[in-house]
Amino acid sequence: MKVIYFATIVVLFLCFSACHKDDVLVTEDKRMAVFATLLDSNNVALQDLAVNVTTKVGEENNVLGASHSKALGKVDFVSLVAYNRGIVVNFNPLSSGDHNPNFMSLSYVDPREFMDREESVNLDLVKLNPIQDVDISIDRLPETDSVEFRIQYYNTTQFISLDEENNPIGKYQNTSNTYERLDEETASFQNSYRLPVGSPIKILYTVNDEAEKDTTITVNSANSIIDLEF
Amino acid sequence: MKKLLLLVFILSISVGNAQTEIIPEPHKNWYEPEDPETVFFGLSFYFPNGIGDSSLGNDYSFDAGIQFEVNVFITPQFVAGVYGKWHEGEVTNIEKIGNISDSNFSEYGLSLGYYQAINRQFNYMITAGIGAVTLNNTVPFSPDSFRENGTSYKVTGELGYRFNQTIAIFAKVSPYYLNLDIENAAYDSYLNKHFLVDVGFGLRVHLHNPNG
Repeated sequence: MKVIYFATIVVLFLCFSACHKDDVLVTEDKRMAVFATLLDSNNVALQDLAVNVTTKVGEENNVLGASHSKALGKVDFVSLVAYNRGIVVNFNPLSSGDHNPNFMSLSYVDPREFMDREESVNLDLVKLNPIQDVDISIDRLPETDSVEFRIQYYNTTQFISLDEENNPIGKYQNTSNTYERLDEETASFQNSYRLPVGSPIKILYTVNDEAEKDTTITVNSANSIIDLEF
Repeated sequence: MKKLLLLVFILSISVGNAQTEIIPEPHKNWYEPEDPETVFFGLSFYFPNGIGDSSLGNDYSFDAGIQFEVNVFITPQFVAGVYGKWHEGEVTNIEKIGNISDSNFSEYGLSLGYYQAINRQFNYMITAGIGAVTLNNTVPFSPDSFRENGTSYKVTGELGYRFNQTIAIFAKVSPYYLNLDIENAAYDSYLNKHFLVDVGFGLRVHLHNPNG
């Protein structure tokens, strides 16, 4: 009987602990100031864009602090910090009600969890590229039997590590890929993308199962439509 | 038996004389000349206002608070007291303090004051106090509030009106400096150094020594 009683208490304790494991624990008597200057790719100051600090990638609703860029693109606000979470400083975050779809989102990630976090983060110049619609069409020439290709492009949300040495950003995907094969059943491919201006689109292709080749096109206002034939 | 009754009579006269001897001289501050003021309790409502360029001055909307205090007359004019006060504030702008939705303020402190009757009904009191302040902050997505602490230094002026020996009402103004201990060099002054003023009114209950 005593064993059952003891086991019940242990199970209840474990359940209680598990239920509270993910609670965000805010550090007492501590704040972090965030400073930056927000520019577009042409070094024009961006005003009224949302900026916030969240606890980690994937916890966009755990906002520790929030603000908007001011005149001359100045960002200057104060955030809470949590000792069982890292920080993510998000510029123009998708989760914000004030997200501007004409610009990319950029997040600076520091996943370290510790009590003595620095009192300020100065990101200096932060550049947000405009977003552009790009239509990509790839056609198979009549003399080609098959084309296999991979379109590698940069996402509209980018991540940069604040602690690259210990926490490289590799696990966060800054690029995406589209795979496709054209043959006698499929003669052409067409898709629309929203891509950061200035970012490269790399197309790696194999014609008739020969050696892989690649070509790179940079997104700019002159190439909103890309037509390729192999 | 007669001797015993005589002894009791003599003793009672002696005790009566002794009591008469320890009655102090009546003081203007006493509502009834034969009853020295000894202690009074105060219960008041107050409205906090931030008056400086700080987070409590700029980023909060305060609700009315409640204060309870006990003051003891050390002399007919000087009082020593303890107090506790509580109010809540909603955060109106999180930009310079972080994502806090509201804070509960509690304060417990000591005071020393000077009490003076203007006439039988009206009186004023000026006190200086020091208190330990705790903020219980609520974060929208974190179930447990986190706490921050500070020290309050205040001066309070009260104008009272006595209906009788026991009951009085009063109005008060209480400016104070609140120093918190939040670590942030860039915003140290904005987050930690606050000037506020409480404006309020309340009820006092005066108690007296039985038979002076």
